[in-house]
Amino acid sequence: MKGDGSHPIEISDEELLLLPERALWSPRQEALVLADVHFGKSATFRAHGIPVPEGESQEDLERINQLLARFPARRLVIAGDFFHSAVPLIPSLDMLLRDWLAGLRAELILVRGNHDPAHFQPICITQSVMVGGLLVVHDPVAAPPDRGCITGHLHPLCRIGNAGRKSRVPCFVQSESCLTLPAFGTFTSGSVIQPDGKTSFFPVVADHVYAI
Amino acid sequence: MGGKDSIDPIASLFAKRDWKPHQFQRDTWQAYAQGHSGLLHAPTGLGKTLAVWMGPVAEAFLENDEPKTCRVLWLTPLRALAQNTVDSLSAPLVELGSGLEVGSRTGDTSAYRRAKLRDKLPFALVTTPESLSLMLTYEDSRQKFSDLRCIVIDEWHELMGSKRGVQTELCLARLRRWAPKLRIWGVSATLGNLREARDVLLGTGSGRGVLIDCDERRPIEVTTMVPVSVDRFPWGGHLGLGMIKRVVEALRNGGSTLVFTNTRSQTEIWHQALLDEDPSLQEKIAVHHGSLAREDRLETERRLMNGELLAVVCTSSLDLGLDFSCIDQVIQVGSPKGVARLLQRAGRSGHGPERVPRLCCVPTNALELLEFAAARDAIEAGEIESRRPLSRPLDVLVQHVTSCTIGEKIAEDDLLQEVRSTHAFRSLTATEWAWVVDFVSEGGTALKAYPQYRKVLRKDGILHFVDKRMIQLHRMNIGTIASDVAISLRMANGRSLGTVEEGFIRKIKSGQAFYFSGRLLELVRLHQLVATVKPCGKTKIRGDIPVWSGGKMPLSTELAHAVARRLEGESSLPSRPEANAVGELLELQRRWSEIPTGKVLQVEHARSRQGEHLFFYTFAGRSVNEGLGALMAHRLSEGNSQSIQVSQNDYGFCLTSCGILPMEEQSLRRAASSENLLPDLLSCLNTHELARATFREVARVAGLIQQMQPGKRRGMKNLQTSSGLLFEVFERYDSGNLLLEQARREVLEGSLELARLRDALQSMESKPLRLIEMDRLSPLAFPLWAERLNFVISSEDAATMIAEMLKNLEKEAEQTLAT
Repeated sequence: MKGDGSHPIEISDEELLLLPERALWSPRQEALVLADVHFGKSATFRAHGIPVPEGESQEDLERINQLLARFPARRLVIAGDFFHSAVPLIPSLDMLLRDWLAGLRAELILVRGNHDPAHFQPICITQSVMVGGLLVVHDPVAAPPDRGCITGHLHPLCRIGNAGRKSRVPCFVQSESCLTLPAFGTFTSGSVIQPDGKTSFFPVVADHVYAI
Repeated sequence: MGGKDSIDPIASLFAKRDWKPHQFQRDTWQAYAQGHSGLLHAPTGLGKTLAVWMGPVAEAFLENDEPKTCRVLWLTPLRALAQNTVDSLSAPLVELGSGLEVGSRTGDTSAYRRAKLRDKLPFALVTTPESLSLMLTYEDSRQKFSDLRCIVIDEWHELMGSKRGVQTELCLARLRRWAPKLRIWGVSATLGNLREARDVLLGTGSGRGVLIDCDERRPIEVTTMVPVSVDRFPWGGHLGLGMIKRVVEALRNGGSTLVFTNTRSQTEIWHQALLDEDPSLQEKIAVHHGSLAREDRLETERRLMNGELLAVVCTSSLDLGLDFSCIDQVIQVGSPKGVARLLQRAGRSGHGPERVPRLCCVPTNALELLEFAAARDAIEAGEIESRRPLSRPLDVLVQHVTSCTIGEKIAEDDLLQEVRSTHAFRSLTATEWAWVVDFVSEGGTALKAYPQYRKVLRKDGILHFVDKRMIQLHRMNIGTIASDVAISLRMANGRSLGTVEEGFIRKIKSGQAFYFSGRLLELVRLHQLVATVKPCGKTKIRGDIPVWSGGKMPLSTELAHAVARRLEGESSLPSRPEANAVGELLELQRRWSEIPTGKVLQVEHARSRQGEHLFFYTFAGRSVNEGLGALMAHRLSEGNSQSIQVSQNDYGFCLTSCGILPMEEQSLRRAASSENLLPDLLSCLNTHELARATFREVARVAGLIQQMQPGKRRGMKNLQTSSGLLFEVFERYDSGNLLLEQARREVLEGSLELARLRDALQSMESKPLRLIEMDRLSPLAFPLWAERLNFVISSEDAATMIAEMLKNLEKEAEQTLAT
């Protein structure tokens, strides 16, 4: 996959490809992993009387479709917060999501995040799942320290650039054997993770994943 | 009831106090009695409050029974002032033996007190624009305020020109319709455009209104501390602490003092420096600025009024406000920045009969000596800055329209008419209005973008907001003051010390020491939005000083022009010690180059190790110079690849290139042309980035961003987002949203000051060009050169290079001046 801006890494003997689309591809497991889509976020705002326009929900599903078209995934694993709210979706979004699920060829597994509902038929919602030797959980705090993990939840960003021209970009973060994915959703921001010496950053800048 | 029987409570009050009313007070009482609204301008300390207050009081005394309804609303821009105002309004009532009550309602009022006020309002209520907006959303407000006679807007000059001012205008339009007998009275400090200030306040709905301008000028005693040796090469990098000994002396001899600085960091630096110089001041001085905890500020104010403190080092947090009748003198450290500002600060001292305000100016570099001289010229000539009112900020209108529809059905057309009766929205277009109504009801005209959205119900031209949960959320977010992400500082026992900016505290490591509120603290840990600290036991340690943003305030146009006149050496100007002290600097400038004035466009060309420099002297103020520099750099570098860097200060700007800069008049003129200004400006500045940043305030006012509510944050987790992200979402999915347009407009009019920029370019076009070839940096070029270094390299390297350059220039200066 050279030249597409992705960056290969290895955690607990699993080879992984960090994608600039803010997702991860495991070639050996044939699994596409992403986190924090926050589907239906603008609808939640509107439900509270805050006029935020719709658009991100459809766009995010299309972005997942594009990834599935490029990678022969057997499984699509979401490391939590696929939904933005546990409150039932508005009918138009519910329909949009069900149509998308019906057309999905990969098996969808949702590791339940703090924003997700407990059930959403027909999605398989679970507390954790294995991708090869790696355990996928939502919150890095819940990741066992002694084994390879993939997590989400933090929406990590890092600062790049020098004095005067700093910007914050989404990044993958690896702390020992725990990899945290950036938020996939279009309508998500995040918080800056401070370097502590043990952490590696893989920022996504202009369609490339870099290592620093 | 003694008050009711006396026909004229004003006469009896003044007789009791053995005072004689000023003419402006008589004029105000009379105008009020005749049913007029108006604006009163009078210097502080002459009895402005009684002038506007006694009108409605006298009116109430004329009635047979004591009024049972709320008659007077008193708006104050600072909620911290509310109690103080209540006290000064109550005093005359008590003296007259009247039972009329005065109360207050602000964000600080307890829930219990607020509930009491919902039951019954006092005769007069002191409140803030935010609290008033909130009160207007309660269903019974229309009835409760229907007998209102007078609304006083105190310190109107503070509100005008801001979104809070527009919010006030909209509330006044509401109240005018609710209370037929309402008169509106503004009180303002000195402004260059008092007439306009009156018209903005009164709108089109309250008749012409009167302007009562008290021309009794209070004399001010001004002195400037002229340093023994004045830099020949002024550089703002150091803060004039060389004067510290003399400042301590002035404190010791001058009585109770307010020491004003221009930034919050400077207050901490000066407070520390004063203590280092004279440790016996330890319990006698304190710090006061907007980032300190409220209790600490109140405590400091109390100790100052009691005479326990000799001095308080402060920022604009004490520009307004409490009547510190105890203050003997004001010390201004650093640039005055504006004429009105200096006057306002000076006026904080010397209250009371037979006393005069005393101002001592402490320049922190040589150019500030000129600024003080120029400010004194302008004060004497009465040339004071104007405040420009805002026009059509739609975010404020979105908030207001939503508020108006709470609790009562309102016809769109009536509301439009009411809104258009304000000065800010007098030219609101039908399209804009239609957009606002759409936005608050269905979200937007692009229905697809806001599926299932309903906020304000809209049917047959009637608006009504009924959803209880949404109303509650809306009420919590009323107001236009944007709060930055602030980290609260706490001791381990939970005691709050105030807030610091996130960017500063993130740079401090656990265990590191820093100064805050005059205390040396050590960071224990930072968790979420709370930084826990403890007093730092180590002595002999230098702590860091927190840096708060927003410190670089530009010099006002008026003051900049006054400085230019000083440089010209206009013979009509009085001789001043400040101006004489910079003689050597000006002599060098004259010998090496020329003295730039307002009559020519002076451009100096010099080379240094960094490449070629062109220095332009425009006297246009920092922000305009920034725009001018960016524009010229953009135009000059068009068609060739070399980059041109820009640095600026209040007097001019500098273009630097490592390649070659054009020197012919024609190309310079072309680059500084006022033609094509807007398109060129849009393409050269990162206006998109700026608009994205500006959108923060717009989104906050329009209710798109939820204000952090202490304790309530958890429940709002699902609604947290950043303004930058919202900006992108709107751009992608509803690009016609007028709030985006407004953010862009605010960038052009606000941050870039388009109007001032155009004026500056036109003035440059009209002047002859004086291009001077330099062998070295002139004294006035030096600060522009040094300013640039701080941007491009690390501060240590910059300091070394500046020191080296200074050494060389000083050596040459010695030679020049010896001949």
